[in-house]
Parts: sequence; C-alpha cells; structure tokens
Amino acid sequence: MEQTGPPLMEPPAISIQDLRIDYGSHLAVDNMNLDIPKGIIYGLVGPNGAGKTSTFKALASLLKPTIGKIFIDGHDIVTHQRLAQSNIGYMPDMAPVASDLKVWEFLDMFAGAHGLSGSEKSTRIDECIAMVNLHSEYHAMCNSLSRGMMQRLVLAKTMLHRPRLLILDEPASGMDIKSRVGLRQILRNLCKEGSTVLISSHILPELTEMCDMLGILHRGKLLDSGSVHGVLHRMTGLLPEIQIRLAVPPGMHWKEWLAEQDFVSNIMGQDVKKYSFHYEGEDDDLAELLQKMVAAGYLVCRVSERKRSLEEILLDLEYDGH
Amino acid sequence: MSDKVQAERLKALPQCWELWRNPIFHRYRRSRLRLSSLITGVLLYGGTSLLFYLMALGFTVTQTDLPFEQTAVYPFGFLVLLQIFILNFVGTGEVAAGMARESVDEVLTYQRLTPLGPATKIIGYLFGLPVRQFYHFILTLPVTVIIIVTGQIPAEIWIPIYAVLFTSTFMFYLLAMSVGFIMGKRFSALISQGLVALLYFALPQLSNFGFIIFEYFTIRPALFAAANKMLPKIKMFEHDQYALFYNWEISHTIYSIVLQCLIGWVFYSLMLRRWRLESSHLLSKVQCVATVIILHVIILGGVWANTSNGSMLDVKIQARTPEMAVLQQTISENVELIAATVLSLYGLIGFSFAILLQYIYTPDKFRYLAGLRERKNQARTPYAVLSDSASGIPTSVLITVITTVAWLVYSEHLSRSPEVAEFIAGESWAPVDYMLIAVSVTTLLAHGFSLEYLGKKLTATIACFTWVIPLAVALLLSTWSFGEKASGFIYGFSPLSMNFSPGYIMASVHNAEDPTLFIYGCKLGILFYLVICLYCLSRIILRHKHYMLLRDSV
Repeated sequence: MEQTGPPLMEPPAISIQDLRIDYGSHLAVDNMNLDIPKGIIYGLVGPNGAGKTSTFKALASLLKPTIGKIFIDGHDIVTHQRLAQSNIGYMPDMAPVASDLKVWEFLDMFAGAHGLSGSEKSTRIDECIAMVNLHSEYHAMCNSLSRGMMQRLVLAKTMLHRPRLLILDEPASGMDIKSRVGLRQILRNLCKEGSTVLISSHILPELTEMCDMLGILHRGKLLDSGSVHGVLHRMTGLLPEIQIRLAVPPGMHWKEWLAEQDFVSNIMGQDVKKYSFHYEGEDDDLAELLQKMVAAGYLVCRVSERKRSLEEILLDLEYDGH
Repeated sequence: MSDKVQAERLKALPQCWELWRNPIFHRYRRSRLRLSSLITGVLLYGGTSLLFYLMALGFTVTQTDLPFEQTAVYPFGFLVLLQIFILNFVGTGEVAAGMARESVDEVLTYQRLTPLGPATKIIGYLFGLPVRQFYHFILTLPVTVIIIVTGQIPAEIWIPIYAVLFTSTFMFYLLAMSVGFIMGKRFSALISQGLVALLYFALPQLSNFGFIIFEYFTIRPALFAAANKMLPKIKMFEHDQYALFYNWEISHTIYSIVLQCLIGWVFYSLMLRRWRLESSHLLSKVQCVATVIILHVIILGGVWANTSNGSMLDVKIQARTPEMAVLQQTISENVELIAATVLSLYGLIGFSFAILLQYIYTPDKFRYLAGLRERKNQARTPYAVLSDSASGIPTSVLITVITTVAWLVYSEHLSRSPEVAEFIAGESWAPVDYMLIAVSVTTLLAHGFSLEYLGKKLTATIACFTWVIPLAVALLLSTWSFGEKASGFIYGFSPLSMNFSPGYIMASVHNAEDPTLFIYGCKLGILFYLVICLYCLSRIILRHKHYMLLRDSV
C-alpha cells in the first residue's frame, strides 16, 4: 500500500487503526488501517457489501467497532465523541429529509443543533442554500422536492457547521449532471479551505476525476489505498493485458507458439488478426518477445497495453465475490 | 475551524433544561403548530371546553336553584376528562407515531450526529412531539380557570389532579417514545396506545388482589380521592383517604407521583442508553438489578399492609346477579383460595419481570465474542461482569435470587396473617417455601441460561412451546372426562402454572398426604428445567473456551 507522503507533522484528518466490524457472524470490515491526510478528497470504492457504509458509520460514531480505534483530527471518537461529531458532516446513502418541514426550517433545526445561533445561523443557512443552488426552494416543503433536490438539501445540511471532515455516502445518487458538476466544484472548494472529504460513489469515472486518493475495499478488506494514479496502476498491474494486431493472419500454430513463450498466459483471439494475452514480464522481456515474433514471421503492426478502468477492477472483484 | 472554536461552540449548545433554545422542540413547534392547526385547535378544544361551561351554567341557572359553586364540579370533571383524553391518549399516540416516523425515515440518524447532549435530545422530543396536545390543553385552561374560580373549587382538589396528570402524561410519553424509538415501526403508535390501555385498564385490575401499585400508574387514585372530597355523598367514589405502603400511610398523590416518576426513569434510562449508542442494551445490568429491587420493594409495600390488615383477603364482588352473590359467599368462606391466588400472582408478576429483563441484559453470542475480542485488544481480562457484552449468567443468578427472596418474604408474611394462620392451623409452611424456591430458581435460571446459549429467537420459540402449549393441551383435555386427571399433570409442566403450585400446596395443606397430579407435573417440570439449566450452563462454559480460541486467532 502506498505511503501518503512524508511523516505527518499534524495528525491526519482520519486515522483508522485495526478496525474490525462484525454484524453477528458476518465480518463487515476486517483489520482496516488507514490514514487520510487533511485537505484532500478520498474516494472509497468497492462492490456492494464491501464494508463502505459500515466504515462510514463507524467513522461517524454511529456504529461501535468490534475492535479498533478511530481518530478524527487526532481525537479518539470514543473518548471525544462530541468534539469528533462537531467536526464531522455525514451524509448517508439515500439521505432522508423531514417531510413536514420547509427547506429553511430543516436547515435551521440542524444549525441550532450544532450550536449556531443568531445572525451567524441565518448567514450560514443562506450560504449553504446558495452553495447547493436551492434559493428558489427556500420556503418550499421538503416533501415537495425532487430526489436530486433532497440530496442537495442534505448536502447543504451536512456543510452547515463547517465540518472539517465530510463523509459522503453516495452523494451524487439522484442528482442530474449539472448538480453533479456543482457537487464536484463544491467539494473542491471545501478542500481548498482545508476540509477533508471522504466519499463513496457508484459513478466511478467521476470519482477517479474528483478524488486525490482512492481506497479499494473488498469483503471488508482494504485491498489498496493511495493516489488515484497509483491505485489504478497497481490494480491494473496485477494482470497487464497486451493486445497485438498482426498485418496478416498467422498460421495454425500461432497460438501454440505464443503459449510457449515466457510470461505469456490467457491468450484470446478477438478476430483472425487481433489477439490479446496476459503478460507478466518486464518491458525488456516484452521487447524481446516482439523481436521473436517478427523473426518467426508474425508481422506485428500494432501493440498496445490495455489499461483496466476502475469499473473493470470492481467488476472483477464483484465477480470474485459471487 | 480550530479546536478552540469548536469547544466554544459545544459550550454554547443548549442544555437539557433550556427548552426555549432546544432546536428539536422548535422543529416540532414549527411543523405542528402551523396556522391551520392553531385555528382548528381553537375551534375544537376551546369551543368544546366553552360548551361544557356554558351548558353547566345554563343548566344551573334554568333548572336548579343551586349556586354555581355547588354544580361547578360537574363541568370541571368533564374538562379534566377531556384534558386526560388530550394529554394521555391522543398525546401518547402522537409521540409514538412521531418517534417511529423519525426512526423509520432515519432522521434520528442525523440527530445522533449532532453534538447536542442525549438528555437535550430526549427533552426536545418529549416536549416537541406532543406540542400540539400541549397547545390543545392550554386552550382548555381559560375555561378551567374560570370554573375553578367561579365554582370555588379548592386548591387541595385540583392541585393533586394536575400534579398526577402531568407525571402520568410524561410517564406515558416516555413509554411511547421508547416504543417508537426502539421498535421504529409505523404501527408503534398503536402498540403504545395498547400499552397505555393495558396500564390504564387491565393491570389496575390486579389491585383487587392487593397489588395496588398497578392502579397508581394511572391518574385514577388521585382522581377518585379528589372526587371523594368533592362528592362525599356518591358511594361510587368511595376510596381510602391514604394509600398504605408497608405500615406507612401515604397520600394518593405522592404515591402516584413517586411511582410514575420511577417508571418514567426506567424509560428515560433506556432511551438515554440508546441515544448514546444505538446497539447498546436497553438497560445496563446494574440498572436491571436496581429495577428488580425497586419493583419488589414497591409491590411488597403495597401487598404488605393489605395482607396484615386482612383487607386483601376481603375481595368484594358486585353481586348484581344471584350467581355473583354465591361467588362472593364462597370467596368469603374460603380465604385460603384468595391467599393462594395472591401468592401465585406475586410469583407470576416477579417471574414475568425477571424474564423480561433477561431479554434485555443477555448478550447474544456474537456480542459476547465481540466483547472478548475488544477486551483482548485492550489487554484486559476476558471476564467482564457489567458491560453489555459480558455474560448474563451472574445477573441472571442475582435477579433470580432477588425474585425468589422477595417471593419468599411475602410467603412468610402471608403465613403470619391472621386469616391464613387460622386456616393453616399449625401445619408446616415449609413445603410451600420449598416449592416456591424450586419453581422460581429452576424456571428462571433455565430460561436465563438458555437465552444465553440458544439466543433470543430460539429460546422464545421453545418457551412458547413449553409454556403455552402444555396449558392449551391441558385445557383441551380437561373438557373431556377421560382426560381430566391427565390435564392436571400437564398443567403442572408449564412454568406459567408452576408459579401457582406453592399457592396450591398452601390451599391443600390439610390434604398433604395425597398430592395431586398437578404437583407431580410441577415436580417433573422442576426436574426438566433443572436439567435444561445444567445443560445450557455446561454448553456455555464449553462455548466460552471455544471463543477464547477464536479470540486469540484474531
């Protein structure tokens, strides 16, 4: 797993140590260790049931871990629960709103519950409503909002008390494209102001664009964590796939010939001239292999390394899971 | 924002007594008292209370020569009933439904995340959810005040009524909040109202057998005491001036308030625990033991004096029909039957509470293992006694001992009452006590241990079969002539009827040489539950060893 940089002078935004969460006999999170530095967007991805929501709930102190310690800004969430909670803004998946309240009343309640009062409270409510672009719905009843608007309202609620850590579980679900772009911009701005964002989303391409760091969770285990580029590279690097295109269709023994070469496995023909195979050797070995091909009369006209996307990595994990 | 600013902000958060700053209270004040609700309330409840007053005034002026001071008690009574309806019944439903809705909609999750203290949150919901009912109650107050002033109703009448009305209201609200909060089902309102009906109408019937505690959950004793003062000529409201607690005389108002506050404290405690951590047990093990002790002190206090002075054995039946008159005569001539019933009911009440608490404090096997792992992680001893994940065995043993001792104390007290002593006529009381100890210890421990070993669902299912089915089968057999004797034996097998065996032995003390099949059934039942108890205990010990290995493998 990638180190997150030079030794940290100040405590990380989140420090998870030996986290284990059990639901009865089901192990949801298994021995997770993770440090997330301040001021970044960290994406936690994994197939359904990987343990993302359990981790989020434990971070938000909604769930008591079986074992392990969690520190938010250096504060143990068990011993300094209230202080930790005042630093956290948590947006659960399919976030509900109080249907019998107006938009401003909903925000007013939570602003009060976080200790905001007087002009500071009303200013902050206005700011948050503006941030999520819900001015026109200020006096609307919450139950009259669309799903996307509700998500935006909950996002506004989550940001009310200027939390230093935002935990967002599927925040973009139900949002239209414009709102999603807006969300990305909001999160970026928050990070610039020093907040840290922990996010999970099913819209993976967006996540890879948005996040500074990524963690891949599978069956409760954190498989990898680090910069987006690093994680994708490592996850792809596990089984690099080489695609070649030949100028003319090869002979009958082509596949046998190729299978005999070092580091080659899993040969697949996509059409008579296009083939792919897994290659475990280094770049030098690949160059040598190509040389051999040409020498053997197989005219290679195109070579490429296919990079697997985050979706494919997760699909593989999900496939394994089933 | 720095830690210092955050700490300042935390300090500025509303405390639980600052209702006017409580955001949860204001949330409901806004949503439940919108203009339409305000107008409807004025028309409905302001109008109704005014109507009571005008009708009573009109009737007094046109139909009687009496001054209003003498008739004011009637509209006042109606208004009090209306207020009880608003606060106790409608309010309770509203609180349970509101809490369940918050829970189902997961809005409670947000509230958990706010740094407000748990007590502030509970107070916010307690006053916020029924805010509309408080408003309706306030709407009836102007007319109530007019009636009290013009009707010259003395303060000693209305102060106790309103004092108990408020404590009972908050007790019911805390009950409803607990049901809505813990169950989180949309039909929690119905369950709460069912529980209120149970507390209001069903359980008070036990006061006929000396268990007066159950009557004091309601406003009725305070109401009847007030009615007794206002309408001394009406026999319907005949009521003792004081409640007896052991050998002390306590006013009905004080007794009601103290009891209701204690029950309210139990509900408050369990909500406080759940607010702090959703997965925690409803009550801690210490709280469970304290609840059992308090409960027995209170129940014993109620039956003690009534047993001493013989009033408990003097059961009065309204002899409206000749058959009822015969029944009254039979009861009067056979006080031992009443004594046996009271003794058995005491056992059954203690048994029921102990079983209920076992479901609260006993951890399931996963939580037990999680606790072992947690303690290993913190380098602590694997054995814990008080935490939620600790084994429930020590607590089960303690609660069983308390329940049995309380039952035994009452049994001894009963044996010394003049009527029972006369009936016993020097025969030994020891068989009653032996049976009592055997039944209480084996059934409670067997259930407690099986709960720990088999889990709640399986134990509850087995309990259904071994407790209820024998009763049903015995009842069926007793209807046929050939099955009559066998039915007695099968009755004895269910712990529910086993609680009646000490009373049965007492009532048939003069036929001790000829024990019936019911007693044989009970003895077999005791043996069966003893075996269950030992089996589950040995399996729990083995499982603990296995878990220690699992724990060390992490």
